[in-house]
Order: sequence, then C-alpha cells, then structure tokens
Amino acid sequence: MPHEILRTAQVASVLGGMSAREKRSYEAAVDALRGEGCGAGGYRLVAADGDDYPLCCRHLAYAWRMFTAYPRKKQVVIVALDKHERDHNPAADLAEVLPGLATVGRKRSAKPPCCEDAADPPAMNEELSELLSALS
Amino acid sequence: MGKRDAQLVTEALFTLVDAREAIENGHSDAALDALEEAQEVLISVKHTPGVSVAAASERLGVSEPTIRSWVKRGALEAVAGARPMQIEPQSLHRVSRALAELRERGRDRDWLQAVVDHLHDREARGSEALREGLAQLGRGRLEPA
Repeated sequence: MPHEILRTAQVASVLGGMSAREKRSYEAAVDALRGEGCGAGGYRLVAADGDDYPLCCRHLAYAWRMFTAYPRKKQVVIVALDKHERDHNPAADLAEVLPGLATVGRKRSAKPPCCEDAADPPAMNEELSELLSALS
Repeated sequence: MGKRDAQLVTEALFTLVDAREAIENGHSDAALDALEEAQEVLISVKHTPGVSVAAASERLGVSEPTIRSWVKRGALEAVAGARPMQIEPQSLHRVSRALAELRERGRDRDWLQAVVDHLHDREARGSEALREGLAQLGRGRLEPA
C-alpha cells in the first residue's frame, strides 16, 4: 500500500518558481517517497546534542533540499524545499583553524539513513513537538 | 613610547626574570609575587585597552576577516567605542585556549568529520524555509503532494 504524501504551503509556493528540470527531480522524489516511505527520505539530520533529529533531508537537482517528517505510519509530510547556498559554507571559518577539515562534509551515502526500516519511520519527538508548538 | 614608560617596561622585564628564576628554584610564592609586580608595572605603562585585529589574527593564526567575522558572531569581543576595532584581551585569551584544544582534537579525522556534519546539519535545521514549513505543519496546513 503506497504512502500518503502531504506537503505544506511553503512547498507548493516554491514549486511554482521551479524550472521544469527541478520539478522533475521533485516529482521523482515524491514518487519514491510514495513507494518507499522514509526509505526514500535521504539522510537523517543530527540534532544539536548529537542525537538523531526527527526530520530527513533529501538532495534534489540544482542544490535543492527536501525536508520530510513522518507524523504517522504510512504518511509522509514534505515540510519544506530549500536551495542550499553554495557560497555559504558553515565550516569555512573553521577550516582556517583546522587545516585537515574537509568543508564539503561527509558524502550523503555515509550519513545516517533517514530510517533503517520503512515500516519504522523517524518518530516526532518532544523536541520537534515543542518546536511546532512554538512556531504555530 | 616615552622615556618613563620605557624604563617601566625594562623594570617589568627584570621582574619577569626574577619570576622565572624563582620557578626554576621551586619558589612558587616568590614567583607569583614577582609576576604580580610585573603585571602592576606593565599596567601603569600607557597602553590601549585592547589588541589590534592584526595582532589578534597573528595570535590566533587566522586571517583578519575571520577575526572580524568572529567579533560579529560574538565569539570575540571588541572594545566598546574603539576605532579602529580592538579586541578585548580576555576574550582573545579565551578563544586562544579554545582553539588550542580544537587543534589538538582536530588530529582525529573522525572527530573533524563529525564537526563538519554538525555544522552542516545545524545550518539545515536553521533554514528559514524549514521554519516556515514547520510552522505550517504545526498549524496542520497541509495538502496532498
């Protein structure tokens, strides 16, 4: 049974300004999410304290990033689409201090996967629930 | 530097030599007294309250733009009202110690990689687009994709 895929207004708004190629990349990701759920979510973000963050990030064409949440089983919410600014590298200043620092970061394949098992997506934890309450 | 200040600096140098000899001979109390005396003498020499950006850059081993960027982000403190910019010596000392620790740990490549991942993920979590999307998710404003 396919997953239900929902999106926020932010996503709809960004999609309106995307090129055909960028949209195709988005649609391919949506199709993959529909079939595989969190298995197609990309990698899991890491929280400030080093624990897993209950959101995933999948890279799309032309430096676009897709953030997803998994509020319920068999349901995926595309929370946001954002373009990564290549000029802004948060590790650049530190690279001056630590010459061995590779500022580009770990390869996506080496990052923690969005989930180990499609039937067990990242749960909405307390941190995210509090954030949602504060923002809404 | 005037003649009087030059004499004070010479006096402080001699006192520092005394402090060093006291340490070598295991007289830590005498060494501390001598260091305190040298500090007082040097404070009485006319000096600016902060450290120039160029000197801070040399001390920390990073570029001057990085020093300015760290001041902007609050990692270093600038002396209020100083033009051109001067760095608070205490904050410079604090950052210098932190950098020494970072450089020590930075020999561990796994640790370095974890730092980069942490920075990139922090940047992603702080994205304005994500905050907007999360606020809409919190309000339940969702539509089929």
